[in-house]
Amino acid sequence: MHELSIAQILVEQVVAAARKAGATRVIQVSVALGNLGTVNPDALAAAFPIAAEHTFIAGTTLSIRRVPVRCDCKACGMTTEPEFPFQTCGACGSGNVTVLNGHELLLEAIELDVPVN
Amino acid sequence: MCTTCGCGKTGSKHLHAHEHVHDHPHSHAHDADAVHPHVHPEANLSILKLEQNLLADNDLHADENRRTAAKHGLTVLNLISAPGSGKTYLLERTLERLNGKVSCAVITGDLETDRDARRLADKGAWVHQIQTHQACHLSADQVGALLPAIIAHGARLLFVENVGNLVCPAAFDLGEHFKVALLSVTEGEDKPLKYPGLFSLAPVAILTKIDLLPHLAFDMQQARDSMRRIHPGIFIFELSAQTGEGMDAWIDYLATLTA
Repeated sequence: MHELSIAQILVEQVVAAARKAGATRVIQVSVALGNLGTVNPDALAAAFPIAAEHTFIAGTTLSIRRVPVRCDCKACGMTTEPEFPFQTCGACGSGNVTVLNGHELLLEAIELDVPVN
Repeated sequence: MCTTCGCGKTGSKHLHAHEHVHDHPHSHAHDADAVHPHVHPEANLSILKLEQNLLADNDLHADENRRTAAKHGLTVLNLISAPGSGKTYLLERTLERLNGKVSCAVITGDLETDRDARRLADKGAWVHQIQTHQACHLSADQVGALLPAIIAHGARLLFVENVGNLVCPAAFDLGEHFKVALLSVTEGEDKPLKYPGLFSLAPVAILTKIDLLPHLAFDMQQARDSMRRIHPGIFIFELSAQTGEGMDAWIDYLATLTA
């Protein structure tokens, strides 16, 4: 439900970054969503074109990369990707872990058309 | 080396070979006598790496709220659950028990009506209703705007009763010290597995309405196990605000937070 507000923020950040880079056009926007996050990729994909409408990035492609949960285990020392949605060690099952990935909500990159001169 | 793509070239703008196919023409409108500055239209494309948090603006507000609250000895809890899990009822009973002992404030969020603020009035706490209309969550700037009044009231404990929703409010840091996830036993023990986002973020969970357990097939152990696998170390309260069962531990805990 909150994906439209996330999409609006995404469009604002892309427009700002593209303008700063002197881009005339944005071809693709790449986003990373952690699996433990609360943003639904389908809803974000549906909301993005609506948020981008009437801006100079209208028509831009959105690419969404899902990031699995990854934990460092303090008990056995292994780094594993536990079964979703758990934050326990995938090797020994210990809960004594540091969560490295899974909560991402990142604008990773944008592909731009920048005039050479 | 190019910091954008690691290709070994220098300078902020340079050419990259493209592996993807475009389904649109690389043409643009210009005066008939304009000269193209480049030979191959695709040659202008570049990738700009950003790696920026989409909620950076909200998170900045949230950090500011946390600093302000800490400076004034105010502890902030962000209560999140589905609608109807008993947030307001628990707060009513909680405020009654803390009245005269701990100075409390409540920000309560709903799409419409000020019913919750009226229910929570006259219990010794500073209470403010936010009506979000369409929005499915509260945001940090809304809380930040109310902090001066809460601090002026002398509150030590602020409950933010978020909009009833098990998903969206979890994404927005309000500057709370921590989130509290509520799950009523009538919702079913499978909800933490179905809606893991909130439970992975909340260090404290409350199983509410346990007085109804004799009428339900709710598997308490499964609920606890799921929450602890999603969030190892999560602290779980089990209570009924209706009968008062389990309330002492919750009230003692809140008193300890503000001691």
